[in-house]
Formats: sequence, C-alpha cells, structure tokens
Amino acid sequence: MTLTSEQMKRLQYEDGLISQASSEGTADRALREAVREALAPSQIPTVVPEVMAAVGGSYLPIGDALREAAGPTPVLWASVAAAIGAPQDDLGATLRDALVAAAEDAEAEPPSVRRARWPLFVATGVAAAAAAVVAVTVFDAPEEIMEPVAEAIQPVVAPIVKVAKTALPVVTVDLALPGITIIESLESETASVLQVLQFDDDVPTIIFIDEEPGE
Amino acid sequence: MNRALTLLLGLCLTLGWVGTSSVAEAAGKVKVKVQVVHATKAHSKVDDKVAKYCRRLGYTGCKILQSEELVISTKGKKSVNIAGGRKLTVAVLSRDAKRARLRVQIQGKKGKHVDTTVSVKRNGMLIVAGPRHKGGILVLPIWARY
Repeated sequence: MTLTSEQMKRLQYEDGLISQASSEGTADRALREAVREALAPSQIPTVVPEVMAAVGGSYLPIGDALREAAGPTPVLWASVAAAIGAPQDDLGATLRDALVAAAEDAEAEPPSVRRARWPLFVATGVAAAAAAVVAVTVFDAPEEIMEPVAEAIQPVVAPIVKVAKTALPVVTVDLALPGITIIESLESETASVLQVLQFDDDVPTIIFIDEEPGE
Repeated sequence: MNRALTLLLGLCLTLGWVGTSSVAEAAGKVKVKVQVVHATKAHSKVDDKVAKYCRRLGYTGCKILQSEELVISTKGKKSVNIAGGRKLTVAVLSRDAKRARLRVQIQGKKGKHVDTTVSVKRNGMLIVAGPRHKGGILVLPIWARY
C-alpha cells in the first residue's frame, strides 16, 4: 500500500512531525476550518426551560432555589456564646480589646517583675496547702491510738521550709517553724478521733482529743 | 513607808522569779506552767488570756479554772489533779539548749485521755484540748520554760 503525499502529511501532522502553521499543514488547517464552519450550529438552543416545563416544574437557578428553601441565615454566635457562658458581645472586638490590653501591660511592666510573681505565688500556695494538710485529722481510731505522729508530720513540714527557702530568698526569719511541736508518740484510750492542729507556723500545736459526748 | 514596802515587795518578787528561773536553768529543771481552761458554747464570757485558743477551737466562752506551775527536774515528773477528777502528769524526759522532751498524760475515770511524748521548743508551749467537761471541753495550755 502506498500513501499519497497528502496522506503522508496528515500522518506527519498527527505524529507532531510538522506544524499546523507550517506550509505543509496549511491545506490540512484549511480543511479543518471548513469542516468546523460547516458543522457549527447557527444558534445554541436553551433546553433547560423546555425540560423543566416537560417535568412540571418551574425553572430557577440552583443557588436561588437553595437560598429560598433555607430562608434567612441564622446567627450562630449568640447561641454558642450562651451555651459556653461567654458574653454575647462582638467576639472580634472582645479579642482585639484583650490583645491591646495585654500588649499595654507588657509594655508598662518590667519583665523581671512579671517573672517574679510566679515563684511567689507558688511558694504561698504550697505553704498554705501544706499548712492545711497539717491541720487536718491525723488519726482516726475508735479505740486505743498509738502512732508515731512525728513521722506523719515531719514530711509535711519539711517541704514548707524547703520551698519557702528556695522561692523566697529575701525571707530572713527563722524558718524552723517555731510553733511546731514534734510529737513522738500519741496515745488515747477515750478519744474517737485524735487531731493534731497547727493553724499557723508561729502558734502552738494543739492536740485535740475528740471524745464521744458520754465521756 | 508604803512606797518603800512596795519597792521591797517588788524586789523580792523579782528576785524570786529570777531565782526560780536560775534554779531551773542551773539544775537542769524545767518550769512547766499549766492552765486548765473550760471552753464552752453555752455563754460568751471569755478570759482574755486564753481567748484566742478558745476561738481557734470554735468555742465562745472560756474560763480559767486552774493554773499550776510545776518545776520538774530532768527525768523527773509531777502530777496535779484537774477538773473532772482527772489527773495530769508531766514528765521531763530530757532538755537541751533548744528543746525539751516532755511526756504528758491525762488520766480520766474511764482511761487515758491522752498519753503523748512531745518535743517542745524552749520556752514554747503545747495545747492539749478535748476532754469533755460540763457541756464543753477542757483546754490545757502547757508551757515549758527554762
């Protein structure tokens, strides 16, 4: 089988060996344009209204139809704020105000002061918590009570001193907790509850014997 | 004349107090002062000397029933009868420059209210509270001075 020169050029054009803009592709390009013009419709028909009329509905753009079905868009922030207990103000404005205030504080306050607050707070908190632990009931025994109370108290007292010395180096007072009495043993035959109370580190220790009313 | 007597009396009291302290210091003794206080919620009359202890324990009325001073040698002990037919016994187990070790016992009709061994700071105090007495409780501040 032999190909004509025109057929060879079409194959070369299809293989990309010659350009449509080259002189060899001119004839092919002219042919394609002639065919496209012959086949192109004079006008593009709009079929959607006819289809919708055939199925019994009215034509509406989809976006408009969805908006019409959904109704007005609800504002969500009011209900969310109410649910989480936040103010129903403009959230953006609130955040902006908070950021501005924080920035002003950061500029006005020396960094060293801001850092110093933390250990002070921690020391105070730990000391208060430890004091509260000392003040709670140490023993609760219905009959005879005989316990090494010192072992129970000393580990609680020691951290107060240690933390306070570390975090508050400016404190120069005696941190040996002068009011603390070391209790080596504690026994009762009449108490339902024995308590060792230490309300503060400079007040006397109280051994409280809680007895039944009939005693 | 009266002024001279007053001065002499004051001097004697001062010397007596100093003497007692010196004896306690020199001979290894501890002067144990004990108060017996009745704390109650039935009234609000408060003896100022013990008001803060009573209030800390939640009682509105406080009255000092008894006050004792016991000079106790190291390794010695002394007893005193207190309200409600109870007996308080204090023993000095040892003492050093900073602390005194005491054994405090309160014996009641139905048994020991408390039997404790404590280490009190020199010239410090301990409070034992709780034995029931006439609608309230007894509060016993105990000082160890030397």
